[in-house]
Amino acid sequence: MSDKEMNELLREMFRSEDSPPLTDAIVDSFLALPEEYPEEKIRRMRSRFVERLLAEANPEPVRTLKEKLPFGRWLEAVRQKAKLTREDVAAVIGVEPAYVEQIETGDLAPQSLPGNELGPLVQLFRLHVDAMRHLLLTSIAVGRARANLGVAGRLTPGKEARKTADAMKLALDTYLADTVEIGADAESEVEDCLTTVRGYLEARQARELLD
Amino acid sequence: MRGVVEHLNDKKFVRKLKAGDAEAFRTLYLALAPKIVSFLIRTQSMNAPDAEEVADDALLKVHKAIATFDPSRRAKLTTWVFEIAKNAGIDHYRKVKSREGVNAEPSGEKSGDFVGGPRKKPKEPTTDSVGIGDEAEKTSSSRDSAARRAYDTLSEKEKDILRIRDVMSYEEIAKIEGTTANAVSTRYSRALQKLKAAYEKEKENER
Repeated sequence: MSDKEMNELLREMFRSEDSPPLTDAIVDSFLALPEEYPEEKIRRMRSRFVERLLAEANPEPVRTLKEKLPFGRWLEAVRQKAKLTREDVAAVIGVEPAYVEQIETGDLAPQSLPGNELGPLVQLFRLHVDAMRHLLLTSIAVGRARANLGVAGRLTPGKEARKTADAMKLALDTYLADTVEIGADAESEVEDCLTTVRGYLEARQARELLD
Repeated sequence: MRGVVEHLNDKKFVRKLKAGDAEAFRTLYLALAPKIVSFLIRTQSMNAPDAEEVADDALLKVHKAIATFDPSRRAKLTTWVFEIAKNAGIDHYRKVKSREGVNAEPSGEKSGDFVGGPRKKPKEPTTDSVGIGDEAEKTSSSRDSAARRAYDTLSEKEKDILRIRDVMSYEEIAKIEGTTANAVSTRYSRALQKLKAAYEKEKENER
């Protein structure tokens, strides 16, 4: 047998289901090779991965909600359940992570966001407009209650204080979502917002989120 | 990125990953995705879009199975991830072969079904299944088991150089090891000769 033939057999074995397991030495050597793949392509891969995870989390559009939550808190809960970061969501919809944070925590009122920012979010999270209506109504009610309580701002600077403040805000939002009354005037505010989101989704033929 | 890759095997980082930390998984993904794509292009002669798709499948399996990774077992986290990627590559290769063979897609499989829905997952990896493979799926691809038996008679170092050379050039290996391409080539030749002798012996025994 020639070296070439032996090499061929070896190659075939490595590519078959009979392939021996990789070892630390093999993988470490390979990892020591300089970067070879464009970063831009990897970012696009990661975005597709994020879309895929969220699509797997909700194979059907979300029409009913298990809990009463503000829009942003619902997004946050779904994102965390899918083990994704704010950076991940931000990269897919093309905004800064801080912006996603403001939406999630309710510092930015969702009903005041433009359709071309809300639309991609709704599509990514596979949220049906009917369920969205409920989330937005809760957002408005919670936002008002929070403003009245005067706790929307952060308590004190510093990472730990910020964590505590964030946790308190989440607890408060969850509590308020369950207890506050939704004012009649909130309905019209939500309708205006839903009209722009509908326009966005129709343009993209995302019928499943509309019908 | 080199620093990030080394950091992936830190105990603390592995603990965070196993606990389902989203930030940690994102770090792992961004650090290893390019490496896995390159690995698949080199080992399975895939084009870049296919390699990206298979790497993505593999990383989805890693995402789902990460809690089952057992750091007390033989391999590092990065090796465990690459083993899953390797198996995903072999799986892909087998599907392509079978498509070419029967000139049709295997039942239930659709190519291009990438974003927007779950796809068929042939094997769910766990620490136990990774690297072992599904016996029931083994077919003609392991047609020469004498080669595998002969390979198993080699020392770990001999096996490693044969495998590393399969993915990297002499020059690349030499650069990483801080030696010369000639020295690597000699080491490879010795291991190959030993394998050849063991293989011929195995074949002799078969007769």
